[in-house]
Order: sequence, then C-alpha cells, then structure tokens
Amino acid sequence: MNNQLSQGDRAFKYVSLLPLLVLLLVLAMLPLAGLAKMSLSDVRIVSGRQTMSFVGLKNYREVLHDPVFLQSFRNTLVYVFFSVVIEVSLGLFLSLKINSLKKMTIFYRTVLLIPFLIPPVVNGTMWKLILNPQFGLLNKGLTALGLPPQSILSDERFALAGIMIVTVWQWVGYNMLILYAGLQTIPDSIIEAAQIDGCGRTGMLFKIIIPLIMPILFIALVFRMIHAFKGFDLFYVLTGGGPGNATEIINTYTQKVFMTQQRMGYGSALSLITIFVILVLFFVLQYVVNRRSDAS
Amino acid sequence: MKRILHIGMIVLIMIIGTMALFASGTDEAEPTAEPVIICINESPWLPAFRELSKAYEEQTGIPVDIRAFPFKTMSERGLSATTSKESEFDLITMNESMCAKFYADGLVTPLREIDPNFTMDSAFLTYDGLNCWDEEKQYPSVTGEPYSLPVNGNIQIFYYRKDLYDKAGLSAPETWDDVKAACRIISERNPGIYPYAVRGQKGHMALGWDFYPYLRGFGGDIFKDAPRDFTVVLDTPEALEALTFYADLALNYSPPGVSTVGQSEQIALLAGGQLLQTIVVAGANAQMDDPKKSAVPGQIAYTVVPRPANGVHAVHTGVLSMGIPHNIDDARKRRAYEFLTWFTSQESQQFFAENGGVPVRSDAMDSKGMDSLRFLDAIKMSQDALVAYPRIPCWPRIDEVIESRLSEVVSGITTPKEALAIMQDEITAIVKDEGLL
Repeated sequence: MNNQLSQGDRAFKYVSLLPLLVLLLVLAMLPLAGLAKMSLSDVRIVSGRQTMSFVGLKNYREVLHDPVFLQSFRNTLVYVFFSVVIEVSLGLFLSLKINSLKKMTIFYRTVLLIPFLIPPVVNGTMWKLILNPQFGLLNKGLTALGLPPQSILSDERFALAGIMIVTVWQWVGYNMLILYAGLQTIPDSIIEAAQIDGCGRTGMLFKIIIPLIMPILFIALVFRMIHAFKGFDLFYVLTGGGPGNATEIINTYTQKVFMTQQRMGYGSALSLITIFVILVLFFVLQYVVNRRSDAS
Repeated sequence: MKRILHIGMIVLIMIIGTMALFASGTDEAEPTAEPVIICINESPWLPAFRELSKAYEEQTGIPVDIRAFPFKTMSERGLSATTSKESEFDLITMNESMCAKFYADGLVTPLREIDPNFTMDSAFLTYDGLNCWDEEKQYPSVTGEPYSLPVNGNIQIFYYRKDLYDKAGLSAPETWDDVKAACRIISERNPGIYPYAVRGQKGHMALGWDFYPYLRGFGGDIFKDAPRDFTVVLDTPEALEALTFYADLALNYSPPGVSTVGQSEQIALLAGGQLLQTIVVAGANAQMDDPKKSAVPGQIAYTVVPRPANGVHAVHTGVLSMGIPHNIDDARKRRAYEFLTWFTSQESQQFFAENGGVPVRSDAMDSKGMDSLRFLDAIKMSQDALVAYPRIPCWPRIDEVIESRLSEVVSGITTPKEALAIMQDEITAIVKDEGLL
C-alpha cells in the first residue's frame, strides 16, 4: 500500500503527523528533560525562586549508596513480581470457572469486578480497618474461632505480603475480565476436537487454552506489571512504608524525598531511575511478546 | 422567505433572552467579599478552628475558605503553593519542623512588611521564637523578625483514666515508674484495657515526636547544642536508657501491632475506653468529654508528661503557625493579616479554647470562666518543661531516619542499641552533607 503512494502523498502523511509529534514532544519529552536537568543539579529555593547548580552525577552516585533506596528497590521488585503473578494466575482460574458456567456468568463477573471499581485509597482505608490489630474485623473473626490475633501490617515479615493480598484482591477481577474475554475468542470447535482426541483437563489448559489466549495473557501481564510498578496509594494508606522500611517502595520513597524533604535534585534522580526501570521492563516484555508472535 | 423569518425570530428571541438573563443577574448579584483561603491540616482541633472562622465570617462578612489536608501532606501543599507563580492560599499552616524552611527560603511574608506597626504583646506564647526568623543565626528565635503567628498551642499532655486510677487508689502519675506501676496494677484488674500505647506508626514527626520527651527527660538529646553545635549525641548512655524504656513500653505494655497505632488510633482507643493512659496532643481533649464521641466522658484526666525518677519533665511542642505566602498580591496579604491578627486576639483565643482549641495566649488561658477547661491546667503545668526538635530546614531528612529506625525498635526488628548506632551514623552523614557539621 505504501508503495502505491506518490511522493507528495508520503510527504503529506508525515506533515500530518507533525502536530501530534510536536504535542507529544512538548507533553512528554520536555518534562522529562526538565527532570533530567534537575537530577544533575542541586536544586534550592532562594527567596521563593528555584535555583539550580550543576553537580554532575552526584545525585546518581548517592542513589547507589542509599540503603533506603536499595531496600525500596528490592521491595518494589518483590511486590511487582508476586502480586502480578498471583493475581493473573487467580484471574485465569476464575475466568476458566466462569467460562464453564451455564448460568449467572454476568452476576459472578460483576461481583468479582467490584473491588477493581473501588478507588484505591478507599480500598486501603477499608483494609486498614479490617486488618487493624485492636479492633479489626480479621482479629475479631480469629478470636471468635479461638485463634490468636494477628498483626499483619505491623510485622516486618508479613507487612509486604499483607499489601500484596490487598492488591490481588483489588485487581483479580480486572484480570479475570480480560482473560475471560480471551477465552470467548476460542472457537468451541477447537475445544470439542481436543475433547474427541482424548485431551484431559490439564492438557486442554496447557496445550490448547493457554497458547490460544497467550497474546491476551501477555497484555494482562504487561499492563499489570507497569501499573504495579507505579503503586503508591495502598502503601501510603496502609503502612506509610513501615514498619521500619519493610514496605517502603521506590514511589513512596521518591515522594518523601521530593515533597517532604524537598530534595528535588536527588528526587529527580530517583524518578528517572524508576522511569528507566519501567521502560526496560516494558521493552523486554515487548521483545518477548514479539518473539512469541513471530514464532507462532 | 417565511423560513428565514422564523429562524430570524428565534435568534432574536434567544439574544433578547440571554441579555435579559445577564441583566437580571447583574441587578440581583450582591457584591461578594473575597474569601480568605486557608491551607490547614486535618486535626483534633480543626472543629474549634472552624467554629472560630464562622464567628469571623459573622463579624466581618468575609468568607473563610478552609482547605484541610492530612498532616503529612499539609506542608507539601504549602510548599507547592508558595513556590508556584501565585499561591492558591492566603494563609498557610506550618508545622514546627517546616517553619525554618519557609522563613529561610523567603516563602512567607514578614508580618512587618504588611503592617510596619505590628508587634506581639507579652501575652503571646512564642514557643521559643517559633514564629520569628533570625537571619543572622539562620534559626527561629525571639530576636528575629516575625514571619508568622502561632495559631494552635498544641503541646503533649498526659491523658489517663482517672476513674481507674482512683479505684486502684493511685494519684496522678509524676514519674514513669508511677506509670508502669499503674500499668501493672490496673491491667490486672481490667484485662480488657490496654495499659499504654506509644505512637508507633511511622510518619512525619509522629513516632520520633512521641519519643523525644523520653529522650530529653532521661537527659539525652539528638544534637550536642543545636543550633550552635550539631554533633550527634545519640550514642550516650542517657539516649540508650530512654530508648530502652520506650521500647519496653511499646513491646510489653502497648497494644499488639503497635507500629500501626498512630495519633488517631491513640485518641480512638482513649475515647473508646480501651486505653488506660498515653501521651497525646492537648488538642485531642475536645473528644474526651463529648458523649457523642467518647465512651468514657468525664473519666479522662490530664497532667504534665511524667518524668524519669531521676530525670526531668520534658514536653514536646507541636505548635502550628500560620504565615502569609510571599507570592500573593497586597490586598490578599492584608486580608490574610487581618484574619490572623483577629484570630490570635485574646477574645478569639478564649472562644477557641472553649471549643477545644489550644490557645496561644496566656491571657486567654487565665480569662474568667476558663477554669472548667481541665486540660488547660496540664498545659500551664507544662510551660516550664517545653522542648522542641531543632528547627532547621533539613529536619525532614533527619526526621525520616528517626521515624524509620524507631519504627524498627517498636516492631522488635532492631534493638535500641543497634537503632541508636545507626541513627548516630545516618544523622551525622546528613548534617555533614547539609554543611551543619
């Protein structure tokens, strides 16, 4: 099709794209360039005005020796990996179950989607009350069953896991919906043919269903991973990064450095590192998806 | 032709209708006074502030637009507003640790720039010059230029269940030994009540703020002699004794999961009748005697923060001060100034106290009819014991270290000795980096 366009048409095509390109540059690249400049500077406020003095890579060198950042980075990776893997697996399981139902599929889909519709801050507050060690619903239930009360969010061993549970609860419905849509695209004839050929349940899942919905599964994974990397609200509401720094993640730490401590140069370096990590993750996943598509 | 006439008529009617609407709007509109827009924190004393603001609106006809944010984000909002082209707020509330930053960076207007005749009379409680900035010393000091006015004289006071103390034959606790004795005696008789609750939740000026009176009471401190000498002195036996005592209260007397207990949880436990005693800000008093909010109205008593048997009383101030942004026009500055000076007058402060606020004037505390406000006695008793964190612009960096390490101690992750050693190193690195050492 491209070859059929005249030179003038081709030029027009690029000129038409130019306004959008300029807009993208202004909206995305300029703030990033500003952030990059700040990350190489010592930023101070003098008489109500921002001043910057160039410090080279000082802020980046400091990042490598900052124990809180290193712990935040590790916590972020653990949080993203486990919460996304669990919620996508659970989403797949639920979508398969709902897909196999003859009745009430709309009801189950709607109910499972409710946590996703609740704003994250409200979710966090609700779970904070449920998990409250003194008057929370969880401990009331445990005590009624004769079990010892738990302090999940105040125990450094379980606090991050507690936030992951809330995250999974919030996002599992979304994953279920995406994967359910994927399951709907599988023609019945393929399933029936596999059944006639004597394919068992496990074989059906791993050899037929998952390969067929793989593109959608990857979309769900990529989207959720990027979103989980941007996590903030649940951590902010549930633990504030504590106990100690057990639930400090890159975003909560950057917010403190940038906003509370007003160390804007250092905070910019942290922000750029976060953006870089997300971009690397995105390109790696995109590369994997493309390779799989090419292979298939 | 007929159709064109019809369309013309419709357009004409629409134009006349619109003009009539605008005209009647202009006739009926009453001149509205510009509001005073205030950035403030959500707090136990906010209802009292609202009541007083309503009184201002009634007296002057000037609306007061209160925009309340969580304590953690209030300073961020203030900083954001004062570093933008024009502040959205006419008045910003600053906590103690942030005042120095606002003054040093020129983000708030010196009050004498708005009113050259401004003076503070002797009844004003200045909390060691919190509202003034000494350019030469680069530190808040009574010798400096006034940049703000304190609006709520919040300090720590000790809340305890007087009914349970009385039943056990105990008098108001004077020392920490008295407190621990009460913990043991009363909790044996009342197993459903938590004997104590430290403020274990990590935040901004939360856990560290709660610990500071113990540190000072036991004879320790963070710096050798701030603002003259910023050598960190958390490696002393006094600091270790204080933190060991605090850790004991957290791990053996406080509710399970104490690292999730913040100020609001402390207040809820007290008002719910589930907590025997603790240190909370004076501003929480209004909720204790209100039958709608308290399960134990009239049963909570107040006293000065106890001292170690061989130590001194130390009471951390938690005063909030209001300043006028540098980046608003003169009319807005004047409007904000009028509100601020009215708010801090004797009469207003008396009304503020009657509604649960903590006055910033001694004459308001001593006024006639204030005897019924029991918490004021504890405040008066505490005046000679007031201490405060060093008010330096880089405090939020140091605060982050203190909050994290103390959070580890109250969660049992690290020992007091380990935590103090880490804090010693980390805070030393910060003050060196900031050029203070």
